[in-house]
Amino acid sequence: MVYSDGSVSTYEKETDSNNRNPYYMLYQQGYRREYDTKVQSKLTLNQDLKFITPGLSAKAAVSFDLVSSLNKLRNYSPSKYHATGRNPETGELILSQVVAGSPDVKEIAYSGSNYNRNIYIEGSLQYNNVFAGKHDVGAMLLYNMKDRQLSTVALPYRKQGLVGRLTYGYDNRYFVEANFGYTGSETFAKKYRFGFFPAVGASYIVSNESWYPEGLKNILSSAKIRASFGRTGNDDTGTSRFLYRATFNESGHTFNQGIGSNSATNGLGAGIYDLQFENNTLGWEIEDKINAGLDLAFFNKGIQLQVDYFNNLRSSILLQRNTVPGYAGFHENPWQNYGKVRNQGIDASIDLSHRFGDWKLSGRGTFTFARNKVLEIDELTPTEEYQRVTGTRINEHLVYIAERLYNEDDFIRSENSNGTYHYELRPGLPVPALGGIIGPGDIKYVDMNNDGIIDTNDKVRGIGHPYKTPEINYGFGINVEWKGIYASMFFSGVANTSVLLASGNNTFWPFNWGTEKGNYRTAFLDRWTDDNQKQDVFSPRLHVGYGNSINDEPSTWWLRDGSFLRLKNIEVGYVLQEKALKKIKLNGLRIYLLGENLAVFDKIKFWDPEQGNRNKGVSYPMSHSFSLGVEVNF
Amino acid sequence: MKNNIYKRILCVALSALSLLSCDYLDVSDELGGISSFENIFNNVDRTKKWYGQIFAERPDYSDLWAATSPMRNAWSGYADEIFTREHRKYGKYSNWNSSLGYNHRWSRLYASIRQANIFLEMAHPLVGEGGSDALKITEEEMRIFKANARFMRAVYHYYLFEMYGPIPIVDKSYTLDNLPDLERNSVDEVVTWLDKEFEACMQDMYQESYYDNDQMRGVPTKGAAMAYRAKLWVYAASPLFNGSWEYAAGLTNKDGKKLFPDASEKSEKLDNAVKYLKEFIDYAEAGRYSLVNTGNPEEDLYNLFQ
Repeated sequence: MVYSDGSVSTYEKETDSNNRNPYYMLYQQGYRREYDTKVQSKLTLNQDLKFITPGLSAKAAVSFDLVSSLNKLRNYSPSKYHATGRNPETGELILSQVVAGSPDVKEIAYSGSNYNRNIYIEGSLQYNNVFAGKHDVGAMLLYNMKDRQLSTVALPYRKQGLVGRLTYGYDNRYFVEANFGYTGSETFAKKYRFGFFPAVGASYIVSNESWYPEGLKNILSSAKIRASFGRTGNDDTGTSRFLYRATFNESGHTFNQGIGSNSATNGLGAGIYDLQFENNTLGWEIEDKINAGLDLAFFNKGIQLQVDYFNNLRSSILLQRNTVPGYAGFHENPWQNYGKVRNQGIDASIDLSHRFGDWKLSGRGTFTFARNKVLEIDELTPTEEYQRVTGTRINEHLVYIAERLYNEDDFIRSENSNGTYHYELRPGLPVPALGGIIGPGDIKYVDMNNDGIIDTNDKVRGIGHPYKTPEINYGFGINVEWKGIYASMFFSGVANTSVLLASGNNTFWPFNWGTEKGNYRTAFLDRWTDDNQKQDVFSPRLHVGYGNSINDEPSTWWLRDGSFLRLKNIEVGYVLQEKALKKIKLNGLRIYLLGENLAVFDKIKFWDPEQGNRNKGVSYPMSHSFSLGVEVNF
Repeated sequence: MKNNIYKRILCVALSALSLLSCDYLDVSDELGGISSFENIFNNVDRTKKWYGQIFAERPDYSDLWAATSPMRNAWSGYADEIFTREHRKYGKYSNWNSSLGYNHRWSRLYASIRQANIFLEMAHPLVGEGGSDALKITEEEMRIFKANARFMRAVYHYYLFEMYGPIPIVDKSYTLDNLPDLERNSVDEVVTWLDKEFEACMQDMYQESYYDNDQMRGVPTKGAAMAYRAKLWVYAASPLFNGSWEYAAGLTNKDGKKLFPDASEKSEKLDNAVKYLKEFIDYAEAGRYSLVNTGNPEEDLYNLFQ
C-alpha cells in the first residue's frame, strides 16, 4: 500500500519478513528479464536392408537438445514510512522513516542462469513381412542411451537400454506380441544396474472373423479384445542419488581436549560419523502390470468406446527402513528394496461424432478410477489398530474426529479475581493433552481408545478420501462445427479426494502471525462466540495465537470434500475454407478466441481446489486466461 | 558376400555395445570424499576426528537452559523452583505419554556407543610412513585412545542405565544385515558388565590427573573411571533398584526373564559401593583432587563453574 502522498507504507517496525506490503512487492521492486533458449536437433539415418532379406531395415538416430535460461535483474528498494498522524494545521501526513532504502535503480545484474543438455543415441533393426498373405511377422531390436547434464549438478544422469519386440498377426484377427527391455541405470551398484522387464500381450479382433454377421457390422462395426501382462521398473530414488554408497558426515562434534584459561583448546576438528552403509544390493523397483481391455466401435465409428481394467502390483519399493531399533545406533535409517502397493481400477474413454448436413458434432469423454492399497510397508505396530498404514490407501488423512463444540455445561466455571472466568473440564469427560487452553466453543474430539485422554493415539487414519491423489479423474468436452465456424468446450474434474483446510501453524487461522501480520478470512465471521453459541458454525471460537488452542489439530472439523469440476477451456474460431484460401494463396488460416480455466465448481471455496491440501491456499492461484489468435500456414 | 555383410553388421553392433556398456554407467566413480571406513582409519587426521566424535554426548551439567537435551542439565528446569520459557514449551506442564516424551537419551547415546564400537574394532596405530615428521598415531597413543573410547562407551551405558535401568548392552557395531533382536539385560548384568568395563579401561587411561595440563584437561583420566565406578555401585545398592519399587519388581522380558533383582541381594552391592567410594577418595586425596570448600557455599557453587 502507499500513502496518499505516494510514499511506500509499512509497519511501525519491521520485525521479520512477514511484515509484508503486497503492493510494494508487486510494483516497487524493479523488474527481472528472463531469456529462455531451446535448441533441439535430431539426425536420423534409415537404411533399407532388403538386399539381405526383404522387410529388414536399420535406423540410427542422434539427438542433441539444449535448454538454457538467463535471468537479469534490475531492482531498487525505496524507503518505507509509517504515518503516525496528520499535522493539525496543514493536514499533511506525519511520516517517520522505518526503512531507509536506496531509491536509485541498481545496475542491471545477472540473477542466475542454467542450461541443461540432453543427448540421446539410438540404433535399431526392424523386420516386417507378411507371409502367404496371412502371417504378419514383425521384429525389432533397439539399443539406446541417454545422457542428461544439468548445469547445477556435476554428475550426469545416464541410462542405457536394449529393447526387443516380436509381433505376430494371423489374418488380421489374432495378434500376439512379446517384448522386453533390458535397462541400466547409473543409480545402482555395478552388478545391480540392469533390470530385465519382459511383457507379453494378445489381442483378438472379433469383427474380422469371417463368421461375423454383416448385419451386426452396421451396429457394432468393430470389436477387439486385448490382454497383456508385463513388468516395468523404476529407478527414481528421489533427490539422493547413489544410495548404495556409504556416506559420512564430516561436520560433527568438535572435541576440544584442552581447557585453556579463556576457552576450550586443542580441538580435534569437526568429528566424522557414518550415515548410510554401503548397500550394493539396492536395485530396481518393480511393477507387475496386468491389463485387459475392449475396443468397440458402433455405427460406422460414430461411437468409439475403449475400456480397460488394470491391476498393478508395485514391489521392491525403495524406501528407508522404519523399524530399526534405537540400540543399533544408526544416524540414518538405511534404504532397502521393501514395500508393496497394489493399484487397480478402470480406464475408459468414449468418442462420439456425428454429421448432419453442414453441421458436425463431436464429443469426447474420459474416466479413470484407480484405487491403491498398501500391502507392505515397514511400519511399527501402531498403538491403535485404526492408525495402521498397511491395508489402507496412500496419502490417507490421519485426523481427530470432531464430535462437537464444548458447551458451558461441560465445564465448572469459576470467576477469577479480575472478573474473567476460569473453566475446568467436568470430571468424567476425556481430557485433551494437546497443549492449549480449552473452554466453551472449542472442538471436542472423540476419545477413540476410551482412555480418558485425548492425545495422538486418538487420531484415526483413513477418514474421507486420500489427498493429492484423487481416485477418480474424468473429463468431457464437445465440439460443434458449421462451415468453418467452430465452438468447443472442455471440462475436467476429480472426485474421491479430501482436503484438510489447515492444521498446526498455518496462515489459514486468523491472525496466525499476530494481529498485524495475518489475514482474516470472512468465513470466520461465522464462528462460535459468547453471543452466538451455536454448533453449526464454520469456526470454533478464536484464540489469541493458534498455538494456545486445540482447534488447530487436524480434525474432521476442517476436512472437506476435495472433488471439483473445472471448465478447462472454451474456444470459438473460424477456419477459412479451401476456396477462399486459394484466392489469397495461403495453405491455412485460422482465427480463434480461447479462454482457459474459466470456472470451477468445488466445495472448498477458499482457494482453487487443485492446490490441494493444507497450506496450499497461500500459494499462487491458477489464473484465468484469454487468448486471441491467428494461425497462418504458408 | 552376404555372409560378410552379416559378419560386419554383427561386429559393428557388438563392438558398439561392448564399448559403450562398459563404463557408460559408472557415473558414481567420479565421486570423491570418504566412501569407506578404510578411508578414515588409514588417515591420522580422520581417525582423530572419528575419535573426537565419540565424546559428542558427554554430559554438561552447567547448561541449565537446554530443555530438550538429555545430556545437559534439563532436569532442574522441570523442578518447581525454576521457571524457564523453554521448559514451559517442552513438557513441564503438559502430559507425557507413550507417544510424547522429552529428554530421551536412547537413540542419541546408542549412536555414540556405535561410534565408540567402530573405533574399537577398526582403529589402529598409524606410523612408519612419510618420515619422522609426518603425522602419526603411535602404539602408545592408540592404546590411550582406545581406553578412552572404551571408557566413553561404558559412560554412555551408565547414563542409559541411570535413566532406563535394564538396557541392552551393545558391545559391537552392527549393520542392517547382522542386527540382532536384543533383549534388555537385567540390572545385575548391566552393573556387572559396567564394573568390568570401568575396571578394564582404567588400566590404559592416563593414570594421573590432567589438572595442570591445559591442553588435555578435557580428556577423561583414570580418576573419572574410578568415580563412575563408585557412583555405579551406589545406584546398584539403591533400594529403588532392588525390589522396593513395586512396578520395577514385576518387570520382565518377553521370555520371562526378571529384570530387577530382589531385595535380599542388596548387601553385597552396598559393600561394593563403600569399597569403590573409598578407593576413589583415597586416590583423590593422594594430592590429585580436593573439594571446593571455602566455607561460603554460594562462592563455592560459583567457582565450580569457573
